[in-house]
Amino acid sequence: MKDLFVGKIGYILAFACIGFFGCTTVSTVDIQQSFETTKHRKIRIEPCTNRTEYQGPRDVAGEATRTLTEKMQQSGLFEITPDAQLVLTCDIERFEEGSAAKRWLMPGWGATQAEVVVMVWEKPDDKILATFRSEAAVKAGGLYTIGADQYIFGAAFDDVLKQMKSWMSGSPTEK
Amino acid sequence: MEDLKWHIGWVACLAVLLCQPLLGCAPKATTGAFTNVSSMDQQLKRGVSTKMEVQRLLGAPNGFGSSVVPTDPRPREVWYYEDIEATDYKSEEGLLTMNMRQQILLIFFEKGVLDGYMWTSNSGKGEVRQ
Repeated sequence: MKDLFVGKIGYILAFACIGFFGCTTVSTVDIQQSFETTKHRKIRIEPCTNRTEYQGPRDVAGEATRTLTEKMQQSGLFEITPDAQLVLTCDIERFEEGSAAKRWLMPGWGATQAEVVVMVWEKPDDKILATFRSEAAVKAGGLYTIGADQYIFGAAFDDVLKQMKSWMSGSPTEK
Repeated sequence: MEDLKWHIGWVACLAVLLCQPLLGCAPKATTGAFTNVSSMDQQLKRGVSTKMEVQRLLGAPNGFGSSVVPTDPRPREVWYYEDIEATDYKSEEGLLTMNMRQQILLIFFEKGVLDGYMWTSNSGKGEVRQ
């Protein structure tokens, strides 16, 4: 009876271990110009464009725009105004809702993914100052990763803002 | 004996669950949705369209660069787009086969406005791939 109990615990632990994986992000940064701290304190955020093959009912572009705006406000990097000379454009290049149940069964199956690209433009010359690309993914994990599709854009934009902060401070971008 | 049955039951359940994702889904590896080049001719105008207009239509490029063509020494900025997709890959008797689709697009700008583009794809015109 004791052996049976130990065996059950062993299986449960083995399954639980599959769940100890979280959200990962991969980012690339393309700097065209260094940031002039004294020149820009205001920014305008253009609505995100959905360039994915996602066919579901969700307004992916709207969700991403809201998330980017909230993250930017929370960061305090810029004041968001509609007449700013600095403009952010945002493209969603990949979005997979994924499934926590599938991830629980097999790591890599049912991955939740979002890839976003944020470009920083300077008006009126439409000069590109920097491009930030981030891919966030929850590729493995247990049922505790339910809802990853709700926070995946936040994870991607957090990464973008972290890189943007490095660019603004003049330090090498973090990898 | 009871332990053995219990273990066999668990292993059988695990095997069924793990094999489930392998059934009925076509393997696919892709860099994402392909850049839509179908309306470039209608929506972009040479010598007129700005970088931002190009970005709105085609999205962010995968790379930036510049070029000087020997016969025309005026420098141009280049945006580079690349999309790759591999589908239906299978291995039979040591041979790996797959359908691969690749699309490369170069956009040229002169003094900040569109000057031309070069586009290539190995996709046949009448072929539908999703």
